Amino acid sequence: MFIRIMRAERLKLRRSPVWLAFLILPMFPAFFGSVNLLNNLGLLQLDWTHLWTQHSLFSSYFFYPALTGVYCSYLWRLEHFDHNWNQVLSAPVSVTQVFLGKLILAALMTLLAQAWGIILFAIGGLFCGIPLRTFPPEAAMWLLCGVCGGAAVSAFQLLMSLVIRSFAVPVGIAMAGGVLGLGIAAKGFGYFFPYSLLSMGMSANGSDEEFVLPLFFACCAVFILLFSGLAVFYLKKHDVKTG
Amino acid sequence: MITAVRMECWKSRRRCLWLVCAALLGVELLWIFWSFHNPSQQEREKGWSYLLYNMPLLNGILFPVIGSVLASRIADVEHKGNTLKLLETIQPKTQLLHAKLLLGAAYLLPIAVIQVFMLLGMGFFYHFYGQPALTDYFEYAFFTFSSCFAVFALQLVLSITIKNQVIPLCIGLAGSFAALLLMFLPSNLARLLFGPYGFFGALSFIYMSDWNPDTRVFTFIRTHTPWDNYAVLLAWVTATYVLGHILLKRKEL
Amino acid sequence: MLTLIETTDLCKQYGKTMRVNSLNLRIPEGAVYGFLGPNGAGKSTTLKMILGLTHPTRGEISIFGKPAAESNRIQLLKNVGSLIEAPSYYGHLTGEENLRIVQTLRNRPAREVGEVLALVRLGGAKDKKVAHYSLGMKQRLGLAAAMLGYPKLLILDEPTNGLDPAGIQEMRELIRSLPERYGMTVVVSSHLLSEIDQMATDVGIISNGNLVFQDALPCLHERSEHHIAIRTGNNPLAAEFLRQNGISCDLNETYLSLPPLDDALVAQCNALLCQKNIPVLRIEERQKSLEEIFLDLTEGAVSL
Repeated sequence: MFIRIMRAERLKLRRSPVWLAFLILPMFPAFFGSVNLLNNLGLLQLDWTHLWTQHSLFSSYFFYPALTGVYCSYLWRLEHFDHNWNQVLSAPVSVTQVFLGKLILAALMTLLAQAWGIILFAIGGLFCGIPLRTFPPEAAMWLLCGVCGGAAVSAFQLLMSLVIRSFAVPVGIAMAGGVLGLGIAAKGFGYFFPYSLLSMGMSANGSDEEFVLPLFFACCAVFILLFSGLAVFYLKKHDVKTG
Repeated sequence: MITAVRMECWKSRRRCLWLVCAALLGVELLWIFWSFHNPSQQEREKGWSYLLYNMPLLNGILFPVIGSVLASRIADVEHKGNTLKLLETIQPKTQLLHAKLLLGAAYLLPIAVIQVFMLLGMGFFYHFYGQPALTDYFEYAFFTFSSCFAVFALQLVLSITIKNQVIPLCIGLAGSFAALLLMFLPSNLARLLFGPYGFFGALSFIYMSDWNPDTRVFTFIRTHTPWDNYAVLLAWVTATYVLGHILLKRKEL
Repeated sequence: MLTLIETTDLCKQYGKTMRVNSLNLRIPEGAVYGFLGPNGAGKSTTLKMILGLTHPTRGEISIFGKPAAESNRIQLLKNVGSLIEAPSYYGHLTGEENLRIVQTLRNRPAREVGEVLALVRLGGAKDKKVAHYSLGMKQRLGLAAAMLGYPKLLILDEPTNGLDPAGIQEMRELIRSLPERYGMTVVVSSHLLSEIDQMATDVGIISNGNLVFQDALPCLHERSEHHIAIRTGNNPLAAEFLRQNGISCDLNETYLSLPPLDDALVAQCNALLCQKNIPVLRIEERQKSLEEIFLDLTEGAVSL
């Protein structure tokens, strides 16, 4: 059943140009990060780690949360319009799996966006003249942890976009969440806020004592399960509204 | 026209537009609170200028997305209810644009004013030394409102002419980054090339100078009021309005 | 005969308003069940409760003889197709692509997409984006999606909405043929009495959330109060004369109302009146239209 749901979700996304946003927009923080590094060589060193802090700082706190918000809003928008909720919820498929299908799509898009971000990071580094042979192996960890954090944010945003029928408001919530995530992470409570998990994951360094990997994954899992559970509960208990 | 604006206010009932503005102000308040928590001696001495230096950056990052959300909320009522074809038989399309712009302005003006009160409040709360230069803060409010309105106008034109709100929201998101990027470009001219997103930086009149990385001491300079850049903003807003006018008139329903 | 859908004391309350009040539906297998009611009567709400899209405030629903519950929801929905409120579609996809989604979710063979498109005569527009369809085309697409998989139970909410007269006739013939051709039971909700009259075998009438009539269609017709109306030059005299001759009649404002008599008796009445030099101006066979029966039933519920 789940494979059928995923196939149907893929069909729904045909001719949807939203993936373009995930292709074009990551170029902004990449470009900005590289230029900022070159402009601040007195304060920062010309190496991959410092370049990554420049690339990831704004993208993890502002950019990726808002972009995730846009994508999650788009995924549910397909069902909010044109009485599609009647069709979705009268189809012989599990409501839980319908939600999981959307979550997997959102997480997949996060993965692709962040992988593209890593590629842009590599291009930015070469542009700055940093030798490729010193490319950090931690990049794999940044990608893995970034995707896990992104999945936690996606679960929350999918819940918001499900309950709030507006397209724009959840995007605003995502933006606010990203900014709050910065402050919460700075105060040391990052593990308990999904937006902070995203940024912590993207800056994850396996040797950093302050970053506890099992705790990070556990918190991501808790948030994913919590928000997914709430969303499925809402879908099962709430009367369908198509207007 | 007054009737049209009244109708827009009526339509925006239960849309919680005020909540969008409150969210922006709330996040900015928290940001200032975190930034100045336990302020240092230098921060207390230069706090009043520090606030005016930081806020355009914060507005530039946050407002393009918030502005696109606000514009989308105002414009989307027509797309959702498929009412544009009804309204075209009642009022000229351009009157609809004027009324929505005025409605947006009515929400943006309190944002600018409340921001100033917020900044002054935080300054007194953290016991910044000296007195704030009230004329500077007044100019800040004026330029903030103008920059926000320029962004909002563009976002409204996009949201009203494009049914799929993904596109204006992605442009708003790109605008946030553009604003940030443009803030760090060397010349005002460069900032003005990229539409309304550069005005947050171009209309800022407090600059940091003499930054010493060893002692971490800096100075703020108050430059001349950027009326020349403001003239460019007015030209930009006029161009946006004309674009909106043309697109709406040509739009087939 | 199996009762395919049975509701017991089904209620739905919104705030202080009881939109559906103690509904006891009995929809027999193989029927084309016309679910009639004025706008806002509770038809769509009832159908949504049957499909599980809305949760009842009280009452029970049984489908295919099994109680409808969360645990067997998917199993039941496998055999149910529906078109509720308005056709559902993804505007950026073509008609065929929209049906592919339904076909994939229902795990049906791909050829059925072409089959249902042919059934609703939408084959020519299958590659057009649904956003560019007319209202009638969207309606046909919704019907096609509901019929995909040839479900045992088909629930259609105002299926002829937006169709032109030829389309309405086509759809009517199609719905009438579904029980025989595919073994489907069809529930059609409508406020168009003439349509229901031409395709339904059983009828349920709901008004203000209350079921005011439920029976086979001929039983509804029996309420038509079939009578003979005679207008004469002197109605009171004619009425008295007919009664004297053993023919019961009622005197109304402009005509006499007689029970449905056979032709010979009608001719006899005419002859009798002519003998008495009472000019006979009109002899008509009259019955209440379905609209009148419907209005009597629904207005009666309102006044109660």
